[in-house]
Amino acid sequence: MNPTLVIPSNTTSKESATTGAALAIAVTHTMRIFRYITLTLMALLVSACGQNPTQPQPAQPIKRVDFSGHWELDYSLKDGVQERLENNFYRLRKEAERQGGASVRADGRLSVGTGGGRGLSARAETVLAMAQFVDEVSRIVVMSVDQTYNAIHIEREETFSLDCEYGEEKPQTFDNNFGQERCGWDGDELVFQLSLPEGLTLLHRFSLLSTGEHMKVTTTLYYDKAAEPFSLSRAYRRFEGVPNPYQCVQTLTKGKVCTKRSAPDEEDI
Amino acid sequence: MKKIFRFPVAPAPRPRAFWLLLGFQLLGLVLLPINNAYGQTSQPDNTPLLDVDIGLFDPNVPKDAAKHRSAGIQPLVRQAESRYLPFVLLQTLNARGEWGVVRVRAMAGNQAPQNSPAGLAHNVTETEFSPLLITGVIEQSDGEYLRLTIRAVDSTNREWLNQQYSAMAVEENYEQTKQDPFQGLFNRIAADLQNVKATLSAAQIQAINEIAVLRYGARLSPATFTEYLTQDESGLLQLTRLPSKQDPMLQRVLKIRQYEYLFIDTENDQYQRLFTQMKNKYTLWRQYRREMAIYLRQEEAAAKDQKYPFQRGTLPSMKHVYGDYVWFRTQEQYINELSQGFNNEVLPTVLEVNDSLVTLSGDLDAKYEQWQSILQSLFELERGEIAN
Repeated sequence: MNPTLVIPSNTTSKESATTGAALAIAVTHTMRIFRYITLTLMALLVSACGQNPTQPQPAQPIKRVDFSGHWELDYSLKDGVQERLENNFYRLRKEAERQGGASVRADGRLSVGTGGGRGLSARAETVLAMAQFVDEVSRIVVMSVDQTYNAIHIEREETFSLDCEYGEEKPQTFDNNFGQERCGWDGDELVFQLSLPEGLTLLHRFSLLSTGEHMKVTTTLYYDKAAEPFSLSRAYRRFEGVPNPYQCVQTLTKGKVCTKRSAPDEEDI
Repeated sequence: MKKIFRFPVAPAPRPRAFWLLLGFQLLGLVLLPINNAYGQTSQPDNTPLLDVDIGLFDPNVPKDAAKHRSAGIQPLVRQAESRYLPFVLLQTLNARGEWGVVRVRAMAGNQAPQNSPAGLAHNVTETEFSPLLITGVIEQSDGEYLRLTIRAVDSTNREWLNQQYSAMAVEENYEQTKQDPFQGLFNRIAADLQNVKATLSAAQIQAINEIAVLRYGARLSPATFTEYLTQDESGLLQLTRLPSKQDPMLQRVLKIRQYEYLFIDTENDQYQRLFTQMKNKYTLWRQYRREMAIYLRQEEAAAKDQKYPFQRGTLPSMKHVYGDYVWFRTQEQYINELSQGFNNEVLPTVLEVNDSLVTLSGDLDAKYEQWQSILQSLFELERGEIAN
């Protein structure tokens, strides 16, 4: 996929030429980078969340939802990375217009005025970096969820699992030298917030769609130098796990010990 | 060979006494020889030996499960440790040969009469009756560090120890397979106990044994036995006088205590079994855990001091920061897997031991109620006879 990022503009100010060129370079650069990103983009388009995760949000009454089961990425749904980026760049362009005017070049690309042009260029690169990052960290194909009334364990393929003990209905906090995790219910959505160094906050929001056969996972990245966060949602479809002919038990002395499951007793059939 | 004595079932002169005696028979009281009512076998220097009870340690697991992760606590491992570590202390004390019988027992078995009289009787019956009771709290146990709060109190309420003991294990400690990696910590506890004991005279130790018997009696029949004790201003119990060794009530109490010891010895056999089955796996778990703790600490220290090599807000910078976190969480999950492996191997034995102890404890609870009721009736009967 070769996304073409064209930010439309009605402004024709000559002053905008220098910084406009800078932004055009940035945008072109982002396009080049995107050429090399093979986006297995199977997600729902979501609205960008403009909320700061640290700001208090109205508390939603808790309604625990059962996510238990196996989930696989639903490839039938379109990925929204490009749309999300276009939205972000659109807002960036609007800001550029307000700051110093902008123009549309002959090739259709954006040229903006000198006012804040370099800053806007950097911001465009940041937005792109955030998009790529969110796309990468949310690219999880299979998840398995074990859930009880008080806790959830989300096994995610090829990365660490998400765990939450929400027995006391208040957000659970887990601090360590590499970051801080918070998790808990927000209405009927389960939220995992990961605060990292360098001003990064990653939010995973799990919700169940009405049929119960689809789960939506919205991943949002907040960066303290970015004007707005970047969000991406992916849809997962419930599937039945393949029956494992072996029953395995983790042991300390022998590692994983597996035994073949016994065939169903004929008398039980 | 221990002889089981059964009261003769014969017409009793008084129906009430008959039923009381029959009650004793139904309780299946085991009569054991009582050579010395108060004292234990003496050492060569004539200092009486002191029996020691070690309570199962407090696993110190926060009720709020959310705190387990931050504190690095695996609750099931802690449960197993709370049964294992007291046994290491038991073995350490036994190896020194300075004590009487050393037992590990659950603290829940320390029932007091439900309707304890107020005042001294309450103090006597509500507290421990062991000659010397050691309790412990596991403050930290991660294979590298072991930190225990140990408290030891004798039957007079004298506090022998109340302090934290901590030790760090190095690789060499795990290579010594014959002894616990933290054996030094247990040796220190034993040495401190011995130091306190050395400050006591033979008469004081004898008094501890005597008061222990009277307190045990007071649990069963407060009205009979509290009169032998007083409490000074500092809360220490002192003897006012001793019942005669031929005192029938004392004899009954001693028999019951012997009977209870049979329960506790059975309980000890269970802990011994758990200890034996758990030893290798637990040592392995602690060794792995220690290596992980050191590795994590080194990496965390490095992460704290590091300057991020990439420009802030760029994709490489974001990936670098996130990559560190993924690494940390992956290590954490590995520890959890080890813990799960440990649990899978040890938990069945822990549960089995717990089951048998619950049964034992239930039996003992029921017996206590019967004993208390019977002794109370006997006491009233005897007082009535005197009055008549």
